[in-house]
Amino acid sequence: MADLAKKKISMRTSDNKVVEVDKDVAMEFITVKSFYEDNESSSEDTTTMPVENVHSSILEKVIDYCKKHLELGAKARNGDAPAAKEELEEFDRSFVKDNIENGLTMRGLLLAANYLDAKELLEFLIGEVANHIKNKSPEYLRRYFNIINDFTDEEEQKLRSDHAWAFEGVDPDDTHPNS
Amino acid sequence: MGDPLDMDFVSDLPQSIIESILTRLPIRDAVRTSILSSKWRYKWSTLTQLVFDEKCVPLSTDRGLVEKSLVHFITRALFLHQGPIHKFQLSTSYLQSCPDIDQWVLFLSRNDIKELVLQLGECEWFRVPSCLFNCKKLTRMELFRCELDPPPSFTGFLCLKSLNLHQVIVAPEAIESLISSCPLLESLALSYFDSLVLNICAPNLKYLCLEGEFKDICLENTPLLVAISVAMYMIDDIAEHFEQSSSCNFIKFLGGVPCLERLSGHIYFTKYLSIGHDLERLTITYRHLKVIELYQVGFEDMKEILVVLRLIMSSPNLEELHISGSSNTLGEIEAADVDLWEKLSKYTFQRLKLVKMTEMSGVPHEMEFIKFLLSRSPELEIMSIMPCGCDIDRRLNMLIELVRFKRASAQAEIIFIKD
Repeated sequence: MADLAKKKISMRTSDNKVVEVDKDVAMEFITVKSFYEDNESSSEDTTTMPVENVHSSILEKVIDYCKKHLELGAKARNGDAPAAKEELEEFDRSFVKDNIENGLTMRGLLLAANYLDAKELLEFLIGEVANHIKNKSPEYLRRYFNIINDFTDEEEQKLRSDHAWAFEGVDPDDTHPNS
Repeated sequence: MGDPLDMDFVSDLPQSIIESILTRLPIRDAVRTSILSSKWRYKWSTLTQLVFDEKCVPLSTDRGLVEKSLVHFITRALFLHQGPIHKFQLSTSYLQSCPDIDQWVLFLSRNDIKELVLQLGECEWFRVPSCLFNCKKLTRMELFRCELDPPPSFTGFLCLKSLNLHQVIVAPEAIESLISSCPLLESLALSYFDSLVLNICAPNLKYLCLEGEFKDICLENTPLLVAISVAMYMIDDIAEHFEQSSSCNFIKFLGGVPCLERLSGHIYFTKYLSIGHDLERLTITYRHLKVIELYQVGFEDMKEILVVLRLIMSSPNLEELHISGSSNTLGEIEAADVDLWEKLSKYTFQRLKLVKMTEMSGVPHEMEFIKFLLSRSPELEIMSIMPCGCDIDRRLNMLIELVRFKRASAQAEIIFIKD
């Protein structure tokens, strides 16, 4: 498998940068895998895969995540499971801290993981986003997702009272968003 | 990408991702997204998985109030919901039988329900309405503390793969026919049924879990079973029944499971298997059986020991064995039957690596068993022994005996666990 790791695939991002990825990591992205397998005229060694939807900064993070998970997966299989598990949890924790708390980055990662079809990363992101917005007020959610509230005050009040059964006992102002 | 400050971050996310995020939220949070903006008003209402519990409503010491709020919450949510509902789960001790649940089940039966989980409270068992039996697409059903009464016209859940019934009141014939009318059934769990007599016919069954007082279980047609777990309780009635029974329980239960990989038996399981004769004629081999766990084995009863021996000697690929003794050493302790252990054919446990003996009182039968394993397991890595009781003398005697036992495996470690 050493050969596979040394081989690299090139990807051209939305900001016109060419990013090199280890082949074994790149093949975790089903979209990339299909690109090279289905397209007879594209060769892994010479063809650069275009990923116009993904910015280089986001792609770096995606690659980082997948690479780490592949490495630690192999480590666990080679008998060092507890240490690998701890390292993985530590990595995931700081990944969440650095990336999920910013709505814009979170969005970029979700879109990229979806486009590249990186299943493990996508599942992870979805879970962490849900975790992050649990028990937060609607005001926080609007800020996090940058959602413009297009309800008038009366409309919002009516909706809240119609859905009183879901808002009972919750004081939205109690939950302080991270700034 | 446009100016990020103007654009909301989620409009161009695929609907499937938004749904996945909303599904992972507690249902109350999901409903509250309806006030975020006009685009979000109905996003939660098409979720296909709905999970309810008492956390949906404010806590209160007034049980009646919680019950009322919860019923109100669920009814409103279902009323506003649009589209199919594939999974519905209600787990709360605050609700038991009430007419609203009937209506919810009726609603679900008209909305393609695939997974239904009802875990209700203890006061009054919920009688499941007959419309449940019209849910043709059910793949998974879990019922706690309900009453089931399939109508005569019921022909089975043809898509059901997983069935879990816990403290459910249902006639034994009805259970048997329910099981045999679900041809795709792969996983079956039955717990806390009283005095059950059951014939299980389930050609695709892979996982079986039984817990409770069983009078008689026959695995009539379960050739694909891979894992079995049984915890068998006993009441006096059943003990008498056992004494009178003449059929061979071992064969009735384990006679038709050649693909078995894992077996776990608790409490009276080995005693149950020891009833009946014909143990000598067992011809089945469990080629895939790797892990055997038998707890509360009555080492004072030679018949139970024979069950264990027959089982492990029919499993050539056994790797792990966990055995616990029962603490019934108040009776007379029989002297070891030396003949028996010598009579056993020159059997070798080719693959046995790990043995864990717990609740060991040091009675002769236990020690002979351990000696037998040690001398016939060339690949053994660990033999772990945990004695029960605080009697220092007894433990010392156990250790003294242990140390003398011959080991077939040079790398076998004997680990004697002191509390």
